[in-house]
Amino acid sequence: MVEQLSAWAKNQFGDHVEVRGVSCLGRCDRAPAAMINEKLYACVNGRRIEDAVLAGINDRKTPSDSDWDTAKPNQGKWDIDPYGGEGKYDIVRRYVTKGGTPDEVIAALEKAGLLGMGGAGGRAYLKWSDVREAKASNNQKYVVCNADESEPGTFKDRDILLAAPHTVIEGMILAGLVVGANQGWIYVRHEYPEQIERCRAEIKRAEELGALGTGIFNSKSSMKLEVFPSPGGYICGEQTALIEAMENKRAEPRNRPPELMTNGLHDQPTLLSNVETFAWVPAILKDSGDWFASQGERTGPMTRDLGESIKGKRLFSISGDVKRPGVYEVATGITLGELIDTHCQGMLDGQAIAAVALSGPSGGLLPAKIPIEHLNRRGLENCIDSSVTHIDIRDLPLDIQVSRVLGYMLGAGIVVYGDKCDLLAEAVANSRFYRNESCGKCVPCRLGSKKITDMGERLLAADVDANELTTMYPVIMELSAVMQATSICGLGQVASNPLQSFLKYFPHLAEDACRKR
Amino acid sequence: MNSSDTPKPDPFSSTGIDLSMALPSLLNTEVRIDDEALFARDFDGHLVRVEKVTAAELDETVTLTIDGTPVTVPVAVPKRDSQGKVLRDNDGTPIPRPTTIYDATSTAFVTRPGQAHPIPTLCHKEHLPPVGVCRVCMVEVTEMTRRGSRSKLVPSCVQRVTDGMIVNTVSSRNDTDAAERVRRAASTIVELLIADHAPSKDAASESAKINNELVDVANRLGVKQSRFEPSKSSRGKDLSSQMIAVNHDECILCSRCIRGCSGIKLNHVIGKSGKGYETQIAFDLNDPMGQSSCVSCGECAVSCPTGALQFQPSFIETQIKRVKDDLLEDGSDGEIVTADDLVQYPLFQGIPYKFLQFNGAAVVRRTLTPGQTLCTEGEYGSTAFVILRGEFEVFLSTARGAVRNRRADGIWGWLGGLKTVVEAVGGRAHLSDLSGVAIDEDQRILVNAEDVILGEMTCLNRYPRSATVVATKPAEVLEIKRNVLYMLQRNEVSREILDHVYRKRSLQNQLMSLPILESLSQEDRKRVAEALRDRVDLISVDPGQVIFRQGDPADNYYVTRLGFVKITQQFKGDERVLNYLAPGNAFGEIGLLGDLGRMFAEELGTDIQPGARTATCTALDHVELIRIRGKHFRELVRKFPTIRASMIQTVGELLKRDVQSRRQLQEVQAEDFLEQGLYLAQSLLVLDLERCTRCDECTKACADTHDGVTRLVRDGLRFDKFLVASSCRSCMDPYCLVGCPVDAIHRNGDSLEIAIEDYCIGCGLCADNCPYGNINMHGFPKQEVDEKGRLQTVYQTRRDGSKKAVVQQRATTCDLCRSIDGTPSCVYACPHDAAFRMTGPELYEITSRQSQTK
Repeated sequence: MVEQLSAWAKNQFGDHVEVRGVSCLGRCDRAPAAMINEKLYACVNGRRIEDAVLAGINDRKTPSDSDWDTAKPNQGKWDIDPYGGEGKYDIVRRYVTKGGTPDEVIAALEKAGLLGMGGAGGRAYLKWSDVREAKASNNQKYVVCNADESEPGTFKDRDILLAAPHTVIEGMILAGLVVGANQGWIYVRHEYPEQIERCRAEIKRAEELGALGTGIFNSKSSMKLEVFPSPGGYICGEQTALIEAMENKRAEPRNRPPELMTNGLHDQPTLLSNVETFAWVPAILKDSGDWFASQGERTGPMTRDLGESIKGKRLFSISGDVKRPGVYEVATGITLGELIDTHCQGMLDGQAIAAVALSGPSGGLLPAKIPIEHLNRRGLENCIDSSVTHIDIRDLPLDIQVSRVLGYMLGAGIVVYGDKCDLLAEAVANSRFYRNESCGKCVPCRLGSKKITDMGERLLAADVDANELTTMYPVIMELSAVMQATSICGLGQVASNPLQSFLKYFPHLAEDACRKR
Repeated sequence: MNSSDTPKPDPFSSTGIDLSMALPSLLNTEVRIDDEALFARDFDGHLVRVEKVTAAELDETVTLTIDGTPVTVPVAVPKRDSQGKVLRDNDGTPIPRPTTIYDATSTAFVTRPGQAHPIPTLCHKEHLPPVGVCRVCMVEVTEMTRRGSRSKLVPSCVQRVTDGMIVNTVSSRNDTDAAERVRRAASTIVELLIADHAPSKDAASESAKINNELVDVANRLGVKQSRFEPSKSSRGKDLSSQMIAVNHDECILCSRCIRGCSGIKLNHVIGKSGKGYETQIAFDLNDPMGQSSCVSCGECAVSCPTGALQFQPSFIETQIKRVKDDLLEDGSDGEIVTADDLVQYPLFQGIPYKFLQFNGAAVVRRTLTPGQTLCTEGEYGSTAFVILRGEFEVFLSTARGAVRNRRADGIWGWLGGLKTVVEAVGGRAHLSDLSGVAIDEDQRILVNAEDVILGEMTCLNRYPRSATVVATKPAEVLEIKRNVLYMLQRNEVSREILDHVYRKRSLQNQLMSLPILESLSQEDRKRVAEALRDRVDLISVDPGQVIFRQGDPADNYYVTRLGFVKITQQFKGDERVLNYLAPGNAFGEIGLLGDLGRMFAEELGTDIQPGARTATCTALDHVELIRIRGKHFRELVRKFPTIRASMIQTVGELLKRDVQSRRQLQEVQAEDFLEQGLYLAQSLLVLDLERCTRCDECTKACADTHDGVTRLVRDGLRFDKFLVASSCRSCMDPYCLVGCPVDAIHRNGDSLEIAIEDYCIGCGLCADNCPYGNINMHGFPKQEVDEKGRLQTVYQTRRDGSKKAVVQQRATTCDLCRSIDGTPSCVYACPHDAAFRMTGPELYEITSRQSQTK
């Protein structure tokens, strides 16, 4: 579509209109999407874009799309928002006026078992106490909310920021009070103009309520929050690159250690967490974590072992070949099948599942039936029969701890591929995404992502015969292992996953691609 | 980026495809993406904040295991410059940086300069801040905590050492499995690099010369070819700079040039543009290099490990052509030695090939027949000689004077300051060109290749040659310029050769000719020198570093081997410069005395205690000193009666001088004359304001003589009725000469003027250095050698087709009209006889006489 539009624009307007393909706009639920001068056009076709461009040129108004379309129905409906749509900052008020203590808050987070919602899934209470204990060299600590949601297939933060920005802001204020920071930023990707505006307005409202600023609710505590629109691309969402960008440097990840909890923004202890992690804090603190701890689906065959440790609810963005893609708040630990069938109303056009990306493209493509040799056998032993050779992907529980035990990646963005999909083309497209978004700092990612994509493209172009495939296979596998072991940040570590997992789980499709020759 | 945990990769499990080779995983234990880094916490699990290292940590140690060997290293090591010299703060304390695994491995396994490091690397250089981007220096580390152990590959150049850390490098024989995992990671990365960035076939021979480090590392890891397809398209070249050719295809983005440009030099021109695979180094806002703010200092090309940044052949040719023309003009027998030849000599081992290229024509080979003169006493020079073969005799030509150190005049002399001057003396002289050796009028000293080098003091301090050198046998020398000599002194391998020779052959002579020992007999001087030879410290002092401060207790005596020392004095809150000491000078004799005053109290009739330092001595540039400790000297005086006897008078004089200068310190008036350094001037342009009508004929004459650009400004300091115009003063001690990257500014032959050669690159350093603002930068039409070897003006074609000469900045200063006829036209042109040329002391005399008569 990009090429067609590009040719059309060149023909019509010469150099005045530029059409470019971009990596991600964060609207996978309404694909394909486009932006014309920062205005969103979702579920588009070529015709609609042409009309919008013409309208823009002729100063004519044309209806564009809004993220409110998807966020509005959820406003005040999710459990993540204890205020039913409009924040009152009661938890902050209680904390500063009724003698709340950091220990109490941290204990509540521990009881609730809140995990980081950005993907890595670290325990939130640990991070909070780490930053709280860390010494600052200039008596200054910071709180930063990572709203640079750019992983393909992930768009839950987009709707949280519109439907319940007060929960994020209240979570950040509480974080500041607990760790000893009085400055914070919400770092939002620049493709989210409505969210940027909404956060700014909510910050202003919170200030007017007295929940933000100097002397929160007439106490001695202070907190200043600002929105920081991201200047760059996907890499800016990597936690250390984000901090570099905030320091006005080229957004490149840092070598670790040190961790941001001790040496973050301006070398000071920094609590950097995902939008949703902050957003759950008010709901958790309302009753010291009891309600959140009681949530969670613990009865499935594969979750029984972990039992009580599966806690809470979380939001998933789901897109692809399902009937109703979107953002859903569900109990942790429900199966993928349940998410698809009950929440998304099943598969589109009655297709069967061909593959699922459970963590955007970063976890690679999983097949509908996963051979158990690719999973962690030790983790499986207790929950399945010895005669089972494959696990149905629909039975996989959507819980990060289970995923670690069983050995698959689980993020916040799930993409479901129906049986009409060309999986090789999808894997190559995902691989291109990482190649395009690599920052270029370290060699394994800069060159590895390119070389692995080149090999995928050759396979896709039927330029590889069966003989060459057998020599290519170990090269891709070793390159993938080296990229995982030596890249500086997560991008390089996952960049090989789309193709590596394709070859691992769909060898017959790779062989089919060779036969086309 | 909301990336998630990944399971342990298991890429080699069975599939439908037949796998002939089953390889073990690269990750030894399970480490998930975005997991906390290893060593982020201490053994007990507490998160460790990384603080800036302190000087105290230079003395704390940790013990880790590298390749099975326990290694104890300090927590911090001193920062070093690009030639391995320790960097210090203004108080002389080494500036610390954290010790990394790479440093610890150097300590444990690299025992002599030039030895291969067990860890291969591309982006890392010890003098640059580590960035850990090439990932070739990966090592496997194991962290032990209460929760158990974790292993991971980490970049050794970045990872700090911690107690109990277990490291296995690619060379480990202790854990060969770990070494194999490291080797597979490193060699796969090198394969990625050579697929895209290996030198092209036609560049291969050129690349062998520049020590392409990528090729070296590939060879070392046994990577013969890449399993990855090379890039199909070229990343392009940037040939817009006249000096440096940029070949983006060979650029591995190690950022050494960026760090060299912004960290070593402070130019901040190079950065990166684009992202991912399209990333390239960029100049300013991605301008062509030739149109960027690059000052052509050459640091980036010398830093570059590959052929990505190389000197333009035309630049090198132009340089060589100029020197060839000069050689022809001078009727010299010399021939240019190119970088290719130089790397063959052991003395030049380890010097970057590109540095030798950059200083392309800075080395000339001269062949001499017996009886032929290498250099003549009294000549100004800017070169030193490396003796390759043959023998020379060194003697004084009695017709001329000799270079001598004498006590400086006035206040700075009382403070112990010395001054090197040419004066007609009979008898013995100290040859600063032969490491201060003492020589009698009719004496001849023979030198040969074992001495390695001759005339380095003249090369560095630009004073006249101290002796005449004539070949006695067929001989061959390399005549080298200052930049090359500096490099020889900094490069570890060359330095070791030179130091060895210096200790063996010269240190004793230098000590024997110390001014403080002048009263001793030849035999006693020899005795003192022999005793001190093994006890003196050879120390390096960095630019800006204080050697001692006014008010410090005095306990050492110093002799400068190299570099300039500034002597300043605090007076009524102002710091004023008393003197600049050139190499070969000694200072701080008072530090030797200690309790000698009491010892000699009877003979001197009084017990005078030496006081504190009366001035502050600071290194102006890289200074090398011989430090003699007072206690060692006093031991000698006590031990040998003859020394004791002959020292009495000297000690008495020194002590009296000390008392006097301390008293003087209270009385001396702040005088512009001292402050403005006029006493160092050898040729001031002085205008008598009572006669001067401000007609500006002098300025016009100057401009007429020098292509329309005046080199004097009729304004400046006033003394009585005299105006000292802003024009080069031909200082005794021309600080402007220090540091020129292409050695384009010097004093030649036996004349006074400072000459700036037309190969000046316009960097402006000399103009910055001149404390009196007498060097100016001007634009000139740029010239280059054309294909026929003629110098031609370079033109730029405008859009409309018209031609415009390319303008290049160049430094200009007064050359005393030597390029014309040697009579300064400013003086000649003055219609009122108001303009004069005179030395600083002459002006002082006139003005003080005037003020006395008033």
